[in-house]
Amino acid sequence: MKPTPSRAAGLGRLARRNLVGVCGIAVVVALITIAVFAQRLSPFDPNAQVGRRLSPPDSQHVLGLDQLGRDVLSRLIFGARVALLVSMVSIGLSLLAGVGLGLAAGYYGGVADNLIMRVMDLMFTLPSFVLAVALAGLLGPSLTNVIIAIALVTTPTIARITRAPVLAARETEYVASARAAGAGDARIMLRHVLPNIVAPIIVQATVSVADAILIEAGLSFLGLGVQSPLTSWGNMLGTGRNFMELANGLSIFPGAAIMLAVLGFNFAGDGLRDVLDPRLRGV
Amino acid sequence: MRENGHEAGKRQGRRRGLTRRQLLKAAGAAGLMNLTGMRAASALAAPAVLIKRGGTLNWAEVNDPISFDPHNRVNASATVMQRMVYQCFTRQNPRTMAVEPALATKWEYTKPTELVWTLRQGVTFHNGRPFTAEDAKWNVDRALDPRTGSPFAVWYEAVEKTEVVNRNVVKMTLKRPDPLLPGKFGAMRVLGFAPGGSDPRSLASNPIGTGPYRLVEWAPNDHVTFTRNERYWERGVPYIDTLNVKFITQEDPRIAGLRAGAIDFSIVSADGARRLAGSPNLKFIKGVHGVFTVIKFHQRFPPFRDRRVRQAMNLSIDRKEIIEKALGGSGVIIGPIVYGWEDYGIAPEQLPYKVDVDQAKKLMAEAGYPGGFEVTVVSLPEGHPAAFYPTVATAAEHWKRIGITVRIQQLELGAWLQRNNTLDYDMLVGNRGFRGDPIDVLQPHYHPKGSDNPLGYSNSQVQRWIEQAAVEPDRLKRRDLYLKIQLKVLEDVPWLLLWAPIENYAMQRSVMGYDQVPFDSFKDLIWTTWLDR
Repeated sequence: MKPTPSRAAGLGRLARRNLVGVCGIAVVVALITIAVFAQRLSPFDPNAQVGRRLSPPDSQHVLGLDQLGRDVLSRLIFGARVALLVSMVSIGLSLLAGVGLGLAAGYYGGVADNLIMRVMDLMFTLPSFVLAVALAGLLGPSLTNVIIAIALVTTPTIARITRAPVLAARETEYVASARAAGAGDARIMLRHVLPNIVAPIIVQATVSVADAILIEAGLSFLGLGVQSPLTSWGNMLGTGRNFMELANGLSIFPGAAIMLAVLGFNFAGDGLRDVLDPRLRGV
Repeated sequence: MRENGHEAGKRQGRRRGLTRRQLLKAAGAAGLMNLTGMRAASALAAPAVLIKRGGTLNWAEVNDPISFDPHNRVNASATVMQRMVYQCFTRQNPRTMAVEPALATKWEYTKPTELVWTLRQGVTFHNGRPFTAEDAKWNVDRALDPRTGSPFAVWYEAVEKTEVVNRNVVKMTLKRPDPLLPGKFGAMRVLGFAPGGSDPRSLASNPIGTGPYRLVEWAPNDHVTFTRNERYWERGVPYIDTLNVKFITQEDPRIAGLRAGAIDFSIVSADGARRLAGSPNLKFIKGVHGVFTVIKFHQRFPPFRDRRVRQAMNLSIDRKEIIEKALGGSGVIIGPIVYGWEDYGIAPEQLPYKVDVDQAKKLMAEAGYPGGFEVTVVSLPEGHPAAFYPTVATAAEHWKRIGITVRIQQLELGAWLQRNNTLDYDMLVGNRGFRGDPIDVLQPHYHPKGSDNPLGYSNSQVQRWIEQAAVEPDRLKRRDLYLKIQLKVLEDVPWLLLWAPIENYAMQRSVMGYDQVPFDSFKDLIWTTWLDR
């Protein structure tokens, strides 16, 4: 839908007021573009050994070559694909589970609420990375298992973020009207409650993507994440640290990529919160 | 940098400015040792310098031993740790590789099929119990019992029975002559002696042996602590009181520990040694290591049954590049026997390896695979110090040129060992260790009945030569047979023989006496290592 002039002007104002958010969204868009067009953008096959190991950056290999003579830039580009794939899919799954559980807990209350939220509280007792390490260790290192581990550890946050506004929404008049009109629980939750509480969930999901990128990188750094031939920034960093004094780019570049991606999603999340939360407008 | 004890002594004298009184004291102590016949173990002895006893050596190893069961070892890391605790009839001198007495003082073939061991007297186990012929028999019997499941029991298949003659003499009756048995018992890969009748499950975690160190504590995958065996039979050694062995797979923390002084002694990669080169507190030694890396083919993957496919794969890899990529150049090309193992191996420059992609493509086409094929190889993970992953990843790059696509399955050590020991793979990258005699590498791999012959490789000539060599008492005649076997095997390519590492050890300058990288990779020199602190 094309924004009307007044909406466009409004967006422009928002953008000027929230430069950090705009930068974050720009980084996210850039990352998605890189990930989608990795095949075209990458100068070399990320697993091909194209030159002398540990070669410093030059005009042909702008970020140099790694310990097996693979092009670091190409590996970073394909690493973006893995980082985004893992984080988006895992957060997608945790949204499905977390929103469902949060809606049920908040809407039904009572035993269901207690049961769901105590399980979520139990999961909160462990730091999410430690839990992810345990799960990935249990399931074994693979792309699918990393996604499952991250989805599981990020679900409680989404569930909690969802439940709180549902508690308020279920007492509202529009819910009472819908119930009076004969709508069932599922319809009320999905058609009436959810659209009214979606803003904080979107914000949380964006921030959770940043967490997921960090967890994926951490797991891969420890050797519990994705395995070759897939390229992961965490994996690159984990191997690169063994060559810190000989080719520090092998650690610095993937480290910088992780930092940039995490910052980008966090800034984008902040920006979205400012836009979507009317209480914060103008703050 | 290599540094022998004499040089170390001179340096120490210069640095510390030894007083005349200290020197006289040292000379007096040496004289007293000679008078009382107290000599440090002859074969292991470091040159006479002012050796300091005691202290704790913080030693970093790459892999956990997994088990201390002395009769069922499956990994080299177990052997290194177990050698601190257990001993056997013989041992191999870490400097010369010669077979020398350990718990047996002599051995004699009273006839070609009868071997009589005379045991050392006055040896006690760590629990104070004396070592006797009964103990030796119990250990040999358990190691060879099929129920024990030792992957190395096959080495001793010539042994029919072991009998106790008296408290200090054991007699072995053989099914067939095996002149190499004393060396096989010395390789210590297979068995160590624990008190007879011990509970094997208990030994696996609470070992009791006769070795120079006894186990104090083992926290799997974290550390092992050994303390000096006060009752050790070999007088004068070991010098260090406590060995604190930390298991640190990743190199980076080992490097950080060496720099900070928290680790005294560790193996490092060639790249690691380069990283540490400027550290003033460290010194380095390096040398070729008898463990060699290979790629194994399994007959269950049909293309590998065709010799032309294996030859094509052999012709299309560039071993020098593999060594460069996997080891930072710190390795040597090998044949079936690593060059440097006495005079049995073929010198790297004489090995008939060449890169000929056109010929390789021709062979693939002749074998019916002009378009190549796809195969999965089992490896340890990228970043593991064994360097299997970069080895096979580089080889995979080379094989692309003849149409072969390789999927690399990376497994943790335990899972990899399981697959390796049960021969459960199409292709596997792994390594093999030094043995008591080359026959112990050649027989299991290239004899049709060999225990580690996943290809089912069978060549009647090779089989005959192996069988002849196994009973040939004349070392030179054996060597000739080994050469013939090697040349034939190089032609048939039942395995892809790749490289042996040039190992680098980094240590604090205060670690003295560990001046050589032993070819067999075991750390027996720790017994004569001392700390100048």
